[in-house]
Amino acid sequence: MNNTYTITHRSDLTTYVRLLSGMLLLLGSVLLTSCDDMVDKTPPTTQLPDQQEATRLYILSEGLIHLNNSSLAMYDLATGTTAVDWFAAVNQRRLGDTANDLGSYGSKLYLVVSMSGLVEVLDRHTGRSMQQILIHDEQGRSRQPRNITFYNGFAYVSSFDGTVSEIDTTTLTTTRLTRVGRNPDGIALANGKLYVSNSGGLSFPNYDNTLSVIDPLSFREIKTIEVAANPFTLQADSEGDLYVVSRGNYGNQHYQLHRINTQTDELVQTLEGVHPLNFTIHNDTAWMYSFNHSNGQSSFQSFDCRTEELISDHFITDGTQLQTPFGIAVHPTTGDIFLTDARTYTVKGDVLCFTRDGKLKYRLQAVGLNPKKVWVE
Amino acid sequence: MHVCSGIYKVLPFLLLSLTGLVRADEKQDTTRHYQIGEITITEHSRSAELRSSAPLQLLNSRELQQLNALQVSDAVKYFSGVTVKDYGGIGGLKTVSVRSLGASHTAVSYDGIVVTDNQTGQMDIGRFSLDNVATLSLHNGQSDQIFQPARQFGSAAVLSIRSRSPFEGSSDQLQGTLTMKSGSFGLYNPSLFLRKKFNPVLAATLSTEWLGSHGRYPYRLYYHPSGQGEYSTEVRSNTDVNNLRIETALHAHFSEKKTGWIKLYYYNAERGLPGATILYATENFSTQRLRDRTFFARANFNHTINSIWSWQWNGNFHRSYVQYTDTAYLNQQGRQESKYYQQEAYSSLSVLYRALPGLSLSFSSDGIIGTMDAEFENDDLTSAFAQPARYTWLNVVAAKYVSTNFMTTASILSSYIHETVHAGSAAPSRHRLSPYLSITWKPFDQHDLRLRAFYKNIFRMPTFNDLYYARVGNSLLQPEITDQFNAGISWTTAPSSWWPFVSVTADLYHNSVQDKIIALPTKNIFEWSMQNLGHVSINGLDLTTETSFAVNEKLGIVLGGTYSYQQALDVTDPKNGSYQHQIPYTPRTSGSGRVGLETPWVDVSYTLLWSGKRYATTENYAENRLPAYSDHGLSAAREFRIAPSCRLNIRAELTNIMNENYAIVRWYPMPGRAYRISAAFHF
Repeated sequence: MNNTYTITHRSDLTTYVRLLSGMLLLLGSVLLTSCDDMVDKTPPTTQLPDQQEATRLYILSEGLIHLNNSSLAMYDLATGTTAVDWFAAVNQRRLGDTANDLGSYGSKLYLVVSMSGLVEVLDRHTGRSMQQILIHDEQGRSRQPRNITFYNGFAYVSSFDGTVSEIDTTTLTTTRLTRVGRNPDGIALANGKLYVSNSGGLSFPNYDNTLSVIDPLSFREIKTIEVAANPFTLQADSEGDLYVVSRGNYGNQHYQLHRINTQTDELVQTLEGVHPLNFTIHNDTAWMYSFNHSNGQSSFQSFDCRTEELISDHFITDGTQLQTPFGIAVHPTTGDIFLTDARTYTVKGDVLCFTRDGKLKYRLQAVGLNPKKVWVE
Repeated sequence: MHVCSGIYKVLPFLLLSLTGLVRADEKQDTTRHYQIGEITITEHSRSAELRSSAPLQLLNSRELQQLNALQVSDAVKYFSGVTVKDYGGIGGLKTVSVRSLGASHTAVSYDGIVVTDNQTGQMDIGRFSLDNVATLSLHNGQSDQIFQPARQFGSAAVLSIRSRSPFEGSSDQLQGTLTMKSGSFGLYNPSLFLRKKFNPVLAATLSTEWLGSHGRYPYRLYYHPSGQGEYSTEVRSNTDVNNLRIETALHAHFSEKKTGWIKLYYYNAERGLPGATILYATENFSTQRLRDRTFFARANFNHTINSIWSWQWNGNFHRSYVQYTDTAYLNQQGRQESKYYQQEAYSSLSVLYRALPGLSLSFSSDGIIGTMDAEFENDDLTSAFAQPARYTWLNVVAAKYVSTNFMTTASILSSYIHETVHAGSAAPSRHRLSPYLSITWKPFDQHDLRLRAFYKNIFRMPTFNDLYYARVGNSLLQPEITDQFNAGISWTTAPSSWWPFVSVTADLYHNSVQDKIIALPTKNIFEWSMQNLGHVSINGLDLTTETSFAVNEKLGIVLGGTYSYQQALDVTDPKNGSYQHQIPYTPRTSGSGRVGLETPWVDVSYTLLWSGKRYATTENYAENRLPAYSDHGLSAAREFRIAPSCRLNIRAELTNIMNENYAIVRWYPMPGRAYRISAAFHF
């Protein structure tokens, strides 16, 4: 047979042994030089600003869904302390999956962790966990808590399963549960009442478009207010006006800002010329950002809640660019503005601090994956 | 001393099976090339791998048995250069990425016809049973066989599964195997294989199998980011599987020159989706189920007209149905229910022309129509569904030249893809040309040492999910393009009669992936979108080695090992935090080992899989690191001859014998120590 690929053999055994040992030596050296040379990289570290102001920042990062990698960072400007994964460092365990909100009441910090279904209560000074309050349904599944607000010694947590939980802040246990609309997201207190934005976000394209008004005493929904589709953040000013963002369908419906009169609990105005994705109110100024997901453009507007007029279309004045604005907060005393940047969502994001006149003061790099909430002390 | 006679004396019991099984893998054009003297009869199962101009790894049914493997995915892990993404348990998704190119670049071929899923672009290789597999092989680049359907040229790597042939045995009697496997986590796996030669022309096979398991295995859940310290012992839940597979084939051997077969396949699976382990809420995924039905009918006809011309036709009709339900989803309906229907009709014609001694040319033309429909719990979503149809026309021209010490193959594939949709906008039509070139050279007459190299440029189409999935899809996506460069050596020798076989292959490669399709969360974490954003640069090394010892006439030892080095770096954007970081779930180093000991009393095999550390996300930071792991298996088997034509094979296997608590995919724990016992009655 015309066999072109026969295995050929030589009977001289020593030649083989020599050849083989040569091959093995070569193989061994290749293996040794190409062993696991992958080493952990270190995230960029932040040089804290020199000014020793008495500011402590708590930054909550969402992480990525189903990766249990939410984190809480703490930066103390007075002492120069930085702790990127502060919660885990202090408590020797992970925070959980998809943290969504951070609040403070008394001397405690409250972290709302959505997929893990819990509120983690920390001593704000030490970061030590005082209680882990589970927000689970009867089957032990997470109710997907989203946001928290406080009133008269109680904490109120909205959850995506259509409920609001009441937590006693002295015993740190849940006391009552009430039903609202679909996938409630934002929660705020105004005029002695609780307001919840029912987003319906998990029923795309059939979003909810209501706010639920809850009487904290009876803990019942007393009214619903119709707004545009997919309402999200809500916050009140000093005059008892409640502002709420409706995000629409992210397609042909644009972001809108509504004003609710909390005396009558009626929608009184949909504001012209403002189109925030998210905002925060400080001293009756609303600081807003917008982000267009299809073209990656962002904008930063400020708005006067007393005159109901736009203050600025571009409150960042020094040309600083953000890749993906993801959260906003204001320093309670200095009025500095904090914006978080989620970058590509899959790499650690930054927190940028701007002065009130819109100049970048400092940048905290790589604070966590998808930094979402900043709480300033 | 005459080594050649020594090798053939010991080979038969050295599980290095001769001919038949290797032949099965190359059925397509074996008989053709036989005539140009490419393939020899008395070769060892490794020679196909050693001769191949692009890396080829092959496991035959005997070797597969010794791998302590239940599913095809378990066995694929023993190949070099492969990363199997295994979500754990029998029902957990298992996809295979070859040389860091991504799972969508690996085609899975079953009996020579590619099995596809236009929706996800990647096959769950866990669904393939090893029960009736004759050979399992992995081609990097493409096979040296040029006489095959165009689709076989159309991917960066091909995982090829060959089922058992009815013409294997010599007897005309009804032959078969009845197997019962049982083991940990409620495993219950009876199967039956029958074959019958009706006459010299017709023969048939029937293979059927049931696989059930509750799958509730314990694991340790660690709370500290380091993966050490405080843990709780949990049990994986909602992990049950119930799979039924029935396949039957009719083979016709009309003459030496005309053969054909038809095959029917049905698969029905129902399983729980245990999801990721969510800290402090491990019950989150107790309500998600997946039902999966696949049917295909396929046929092949192969005709050697004369010593110069041959042609073959392959056809396939494929239907699949997947139903995903979550009865506790927090939407308006309180449930999520998605039903996906896919159909594919496929026809391929190939012609082989042996132009000159040693030189052959081939042409194949494949037409494919793939459609998909969907239904959701929400009527608005259902009516907005694109209902895409994809029309693909593939044409390939290939040439192969073989001489005593040299072989080269070259091909150019033309792909034309057109899509239509009922809602939304369809992706633009696309046309691409994809070249391939490989050479192998045997420089010395007296040493079986070969040098080889290949280059391949190929792409993968965006999947229907990438293009049209509600909110996520982006119909403007471009195909994802890969380039592969490989250079390697293969060497084999037979040092002595007691050491009859040593083989080594070593390959260095450089791959790149451009326009990599990646999902990015856009609006919020629930809503992702697909973008052509990635660029990956990959440098690697694959080593495989195997040796056997014949201690005496009845005692044999086989040792095999693989080693892979993959530097797969994200080089998308220097400004990004993951620039120059290893891509997720890709170990820098990994490998496998196996030892088989055959004695007259019992056959023992030991298997090892190990992997270096990996990162679960794009940034190579400590908190994203998954630790290295190893998984050891051990089995013992003995065959009893009950009657002249009846044998009973009893096998006991222990997997993950060190009970290592590890995960391949973060938060999807793998099972710990487990056992399996099987009894196979061959008649």
